[in-house]
Amino acid sequence: MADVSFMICAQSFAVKSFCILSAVLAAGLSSKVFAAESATPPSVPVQDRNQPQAAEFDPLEKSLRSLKSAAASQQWRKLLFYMRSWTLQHKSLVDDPRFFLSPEGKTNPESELSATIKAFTEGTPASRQEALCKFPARREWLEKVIERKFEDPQPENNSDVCRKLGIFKRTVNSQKMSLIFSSYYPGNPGSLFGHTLLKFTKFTDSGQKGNELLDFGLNHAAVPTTTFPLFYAPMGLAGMFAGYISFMPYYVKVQEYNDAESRDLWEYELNLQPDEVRLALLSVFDLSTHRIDYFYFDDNCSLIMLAFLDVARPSLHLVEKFNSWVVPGDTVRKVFNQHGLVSQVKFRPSNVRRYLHAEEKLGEAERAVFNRLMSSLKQGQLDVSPLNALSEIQKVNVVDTSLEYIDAVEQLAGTKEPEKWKNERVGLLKLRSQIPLTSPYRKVPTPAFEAPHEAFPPTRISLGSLTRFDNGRSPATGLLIGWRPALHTLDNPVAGMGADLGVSFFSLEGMVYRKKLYLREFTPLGIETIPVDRPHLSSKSWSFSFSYRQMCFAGCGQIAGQYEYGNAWRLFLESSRVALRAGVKTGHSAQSGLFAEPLVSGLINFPFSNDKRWVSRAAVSRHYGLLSRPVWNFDYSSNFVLRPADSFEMDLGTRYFNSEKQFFGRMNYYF
Amino acid sequence: MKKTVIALVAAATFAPALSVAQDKKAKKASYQTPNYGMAGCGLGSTVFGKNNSMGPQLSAATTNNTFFPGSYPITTGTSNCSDGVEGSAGTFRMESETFISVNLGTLNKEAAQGEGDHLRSLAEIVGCGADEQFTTFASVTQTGHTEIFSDAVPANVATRLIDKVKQDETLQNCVRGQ
Repeated sequence: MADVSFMICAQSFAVKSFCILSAVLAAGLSSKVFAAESATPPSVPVQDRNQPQAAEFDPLEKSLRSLKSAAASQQWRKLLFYMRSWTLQHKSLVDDPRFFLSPEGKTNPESELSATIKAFTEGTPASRQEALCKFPARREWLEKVIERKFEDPQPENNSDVCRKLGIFKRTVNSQKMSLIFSSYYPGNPGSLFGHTLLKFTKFTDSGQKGNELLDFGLNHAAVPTTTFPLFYAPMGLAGMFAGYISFMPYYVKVQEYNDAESRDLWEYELNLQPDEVRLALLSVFDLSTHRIDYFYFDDNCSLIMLAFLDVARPSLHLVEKFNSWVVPGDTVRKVFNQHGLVSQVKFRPSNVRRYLHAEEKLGEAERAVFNRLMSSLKQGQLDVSPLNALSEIQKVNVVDTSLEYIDAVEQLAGTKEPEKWKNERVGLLKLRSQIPLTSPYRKVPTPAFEAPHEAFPPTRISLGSLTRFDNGRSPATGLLIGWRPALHTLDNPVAGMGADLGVSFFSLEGMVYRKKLYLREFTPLGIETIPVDRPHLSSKSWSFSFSYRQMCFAGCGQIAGQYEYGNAWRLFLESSRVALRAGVKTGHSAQSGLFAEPLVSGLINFPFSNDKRWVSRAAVSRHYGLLSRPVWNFDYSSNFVLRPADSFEMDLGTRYFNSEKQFFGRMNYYF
Repeated sequence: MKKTVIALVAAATFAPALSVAQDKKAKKASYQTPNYGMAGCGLGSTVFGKNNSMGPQLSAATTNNTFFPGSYPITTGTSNCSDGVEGSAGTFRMESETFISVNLGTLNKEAAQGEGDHLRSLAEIVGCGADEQFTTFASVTQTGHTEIFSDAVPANVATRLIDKVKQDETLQNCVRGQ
């Protein structure tokens, strides 16, 4: 019935936006007049005043009146992924013109609504049916607004999109959604800041929740033309990659993140109503292959996930909470802080963490045997005879731990076979299957300090001062102003990030000195990792940065790329580190022209608590410049960082660079 | 505006990257109307990770690096070959084969151990996921482990596994798609 009224409207007026206006006007007229004026096709019954249901209720008038508010409603805007731009205009995140039925659809919600109604109610039965199949979420919502169902002109339509919608509706039944965070991963430039996806919990026909692995995962990712870091980041920033969603069984994502990339998965189960989840799910189908250009820092995976949460519940306004930088971990924090939205936080460990946990749980005798197995394994001659000294359950523990070790080191996922230890794994599996015991459930505890919602906000502004003391010169003091949009450096609190990774992106610091502004530092990208060795797993500490920096107080700026490689160790506490690395810096400065500088560096990162830490760095290097004589450089700095309040940080320190001595203090604010 | 500024900063910082910019234009031009073909039918092997060849179809819609714009991004992991006829032998077969293909290494391990959530999920797909059925299922796959996983071809593993389960008296009635 509903399509009737809209069809009239769209047929009577060629201009779509005018249609809305006229619909509103028409709502003011008596329905009798309106019906009389409308030339309707004979096949479609017009609202007949004599019919009994029309006497008690006038759906036509009601639906027309609601049309104006429909276009303006938050739900319609969310379904089309409209955002307000800085000029307060509506603009959809979707860049694919085929997502819009109106030529102005990307920027005009009303025009798009009118075109959608037209497509659903006008044209050949086949075209109407295809439009209805292509946009099931728009359909569902419109039907709710007008309180009537659109007629399916060709219920048996077997076009590709209708067939796929049928399969989608039959197989995907969900009433629950979770936001999933996949932890930081320095091995892939797209994963430096973590990654988020959505999980739709699968329900069986009888309304039961099945095994979590059989749920569905919704992902949005760029289709990069390169993954080389130097190109990837700037191209991602500039929107040079197209982004697409994908929707697939969650077990695929678990294999990918937990096993192929050794990343932990954090799940935030959301308190949403079944019909809210259903609409978001249908809008996944609406969006399908339509392109959203990928901008590394804002139109990224995380923003799209928030957009789907907004579809589910428009009053959340999650997308609007991010105006410039969207850092995945930060979206988790904001979602977590929505009152009552997150009902449960769950943790799914990576393969490495599964192994470490199994190893940690080994008893003394078991560990001794395990260590013997491992040393024979590494020598390429796996000897399982030490197992004979153990009881059956002890054997289970040792063999299971050995299998977890192989799987973690080989990053086994999918059908991949081990490269180093194929036969050894087959042998251990056979041995294990012959022990007729089931393995105990080894629940890996949720790691402290790593839940992403506990992290600091990523953006930092800072204000401070820098004083120079130098032999024979009077002290000089400058005012420091800094801005760093993301993410976390090793002198920040470990909460939410773990102790091993620091990433700084577009970090900027300027200094005002004698009414002049100096650029002290600009680091487009800096990465530093300080993981420590674990039982039978060795890892390396490395750092990479590309930056402009003033080496001394002022007037000795250099542009340089720097790479270091070495080792890190634990120092007294679980999250304290000492690292020793060697590396090279190459770049350009005014004094030296092009230069190369081999170096050795050391780092102590010592947190007294999550709120207080001491960081000390030292480096010795030999500077070879094209325009200068070789010189030795000594660089030592030491800071004490404390956090008196949640978003505030004080950073006090000193630095010696050759003969120059600096004192600095900064107040950092995070938001 | 904001994006333009960011783009300019990025461009100035990494001038060499601009040379690759043409790629995008080329990609846009070649991007055609959506092809609503789902991944999932006729899976070969599925391997994740940087340096591995991927299974041709599921992986096409799987990892960040290998998503083909032309293919439909939705895969249910079940019924793409058999048109979603619920409960049909083809659907069931496809569903288990897809699951085994994506989780082969993990299932191999969990079957040997007689426990694990991948094994439980497989039991659920096969139709024997209820607690008391799972205990038997796990014991069948543990005893038959060496035979079931005698090669690493997912289709063969699926055949042998389902055969084994069907041979068990208490399980033969719960197996779906018969």
